[in-house]
Amino acid sequence: MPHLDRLFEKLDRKARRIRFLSRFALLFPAAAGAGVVLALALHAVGLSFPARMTSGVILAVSSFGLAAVAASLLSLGRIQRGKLLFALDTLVDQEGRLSALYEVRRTGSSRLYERALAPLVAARADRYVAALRLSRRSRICIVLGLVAVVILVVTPWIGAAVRPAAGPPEAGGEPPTASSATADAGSDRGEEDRERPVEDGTLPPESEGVVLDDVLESLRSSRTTPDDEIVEDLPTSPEAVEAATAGRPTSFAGFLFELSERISSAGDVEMSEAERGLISEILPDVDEEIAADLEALLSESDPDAAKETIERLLQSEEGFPDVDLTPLDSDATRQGEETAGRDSGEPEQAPADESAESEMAQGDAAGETARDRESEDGAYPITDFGDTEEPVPELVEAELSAELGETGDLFEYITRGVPIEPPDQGADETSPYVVDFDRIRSILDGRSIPADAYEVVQRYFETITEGGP
Amino acid sequence: MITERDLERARGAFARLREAIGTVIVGHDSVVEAALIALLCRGNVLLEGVPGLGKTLLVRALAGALGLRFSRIQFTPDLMPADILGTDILTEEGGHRRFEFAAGPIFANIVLADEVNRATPKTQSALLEAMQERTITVRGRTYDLEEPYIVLATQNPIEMEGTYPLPEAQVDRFLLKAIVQFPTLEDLDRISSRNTEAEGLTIPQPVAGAEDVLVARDVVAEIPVPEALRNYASRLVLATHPSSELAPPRVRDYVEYGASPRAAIALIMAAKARAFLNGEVNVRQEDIDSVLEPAMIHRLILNFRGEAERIQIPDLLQDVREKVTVL
Repeated sequence: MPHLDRLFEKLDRKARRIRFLSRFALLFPAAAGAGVVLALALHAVGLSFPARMTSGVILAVSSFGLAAVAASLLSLGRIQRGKLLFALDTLVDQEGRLSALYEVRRTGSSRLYERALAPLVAARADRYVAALRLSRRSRICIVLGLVAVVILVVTPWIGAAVRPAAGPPEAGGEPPTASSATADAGSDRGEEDRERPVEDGTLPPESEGVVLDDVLESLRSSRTTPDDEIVEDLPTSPEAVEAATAGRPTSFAGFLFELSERISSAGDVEMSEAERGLISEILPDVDEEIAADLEALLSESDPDAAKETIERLLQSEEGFPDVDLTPLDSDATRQGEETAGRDSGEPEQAPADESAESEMAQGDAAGETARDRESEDGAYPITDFGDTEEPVPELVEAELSAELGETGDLFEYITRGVPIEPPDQGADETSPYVVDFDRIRSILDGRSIPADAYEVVQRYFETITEGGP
Repeated sequence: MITERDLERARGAFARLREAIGTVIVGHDSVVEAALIALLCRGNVLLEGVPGLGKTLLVRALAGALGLRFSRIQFTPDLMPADILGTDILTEEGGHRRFEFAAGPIFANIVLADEVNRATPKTQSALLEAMQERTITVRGRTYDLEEPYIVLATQNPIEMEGTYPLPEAQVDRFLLKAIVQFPTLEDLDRISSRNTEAEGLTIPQPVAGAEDVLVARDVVAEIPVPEALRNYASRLVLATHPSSELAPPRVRDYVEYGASPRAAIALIMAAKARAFLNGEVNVRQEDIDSVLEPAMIHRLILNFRGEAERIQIPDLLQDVREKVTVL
């Protein structure tokens, strides 16, 4: 009965394949998981792989190959055909017929029962072959292994872990901060910039990187703000700053300025209920002259007269009290939709004083003007929106130094909100920017940061700017 | 070498046999099956049940349907071995005296040893050679017993006073032990009806012969057993030993001695016979599971704690069945 011999051989071959795959299914996820652990362990002890970017791929391929070789070795033994065939009988509900037939043929004990069993088995040969398949558990194991390989190859934090140890601070597996997340989401350029020194072989000395790492670690460890307290980070990219400030006013003066712009462009004096409510809210807190102008504004129907009134209000020397601009948010959001998409990680709302700080902190001419008008109590006055120039000044994006350690180019860290003095006019291009730490201190005061962290923050800024106050 | 014709002949004979016994015996399917299995396996059966349940009738029906010689021995405390085996008696013929062997009732095809535990161990042991070797030795001469040969012994489980429990060596020689249960209400109605109406109960006429049984034995012996099931049977036997790592907890706690290797043989042989009776061409796991209890129940010996706590051996065998799986 050659067809039975062929069936047994076919089952034998398939059983060997299944046995290999079963072993492989157990070993593969283990090897891939070991690869991940190895990568993290090497990173933890400061060792690095010789190749970057491909390290994850190397680990993945290695684990795959290792599992395959080990599975092959473990699958070398003889197939216990009697037990295998009985298991197949159970799977196809044949109650031991195939295994009994095999037994009869093996021992030659009974031609009668061989003849009786052969047609029963032959009729279900395909079902026997089909029943021999990889178990669900093994399939799940293989999928798990593939997932581990994918993690090794594509997941950024694993990728960062297997890259050389001089990577950016975020590569240490720490959860990304809001600012770093914003920077990552905002542009891939930052990622490229971080990688460039390694690619170019211009990796800075290890000591520099360690110094900055230490400062950052101290900064993290000194953080005492409760987890549930939301402290909005300063925008960390020009795009983020633009998105944060565009589309809505940040103070009552800003609101008046926008109103004036709208009247100029559209000739429409009509105000929304929220805008009227805002003006009504501020009335009790201003002096009589301003209150009269505001009431006139509420009832004004002539665009020119309304503009005059607004200009008069804006030119008054007295600052407006702080008001809650929340009712205007919806309008502002609509207005800012065009720019909001640029940076999804940007906070939707910032307190007016923070916005003022942010604006005041620019190292440009507008910021200088604002600093000149600093009041005695340390509070920063509102930017003069009566100025005809663009209210949002340009950001400083100059590359400050080529050798700043592993943090990469400095302009990523000097953005709106970080008070840094640009070098004097005509100075050497390599002159460092200078940190105005008094201004940093005022920002820290406003954020309830403990006093003992001031020194750490100061050292941070000194390090990244290679300068000092 | 057996052929398809032998197979068909054997199957036909035993189908008729079952049908014939069914006309007399109501219910007791497992007991009838045990008797037929023992007949097919050259074995003997120990029937246990209270009087009046039809044990003797079953044996008579079996003998009648097969047309074989039947004898019944009522075991009593004063029964002597010679009473069942036979003895040499002095005869005189033509002026010459000589000893002539007078065969006892054990010389039959189907022997009913009724209440076997009432005889003394000496008499009980007289059955040993007949049951195992199918021979009888008297005064140095050995006589062959005619095949097919089967001993069906009964014992009453409730009247234990004045009885001599069978020694382990003798119990082990019974292929199966069948517990004869009290009939159900429906069966009881049918029993009373068959015995009290019309002609009453009649022993069936022969529907098969000794030759049919011998052919069927050859057919059964060749039924293939998958390697995995043979291994399964062996592990079932091992699991009855308290020292085995396969043994379930209650076996370790309550069993003094587990089943002997003879039990493994009985298990496989009985499974083969059962597969044959069910028209199968190979042994299935279901066959082994089905004969596990009758093949093992009399081979396990409880320890003192098991006896004291009245542990039921069928419960222990259930534990064994649940613990051991086919690998």
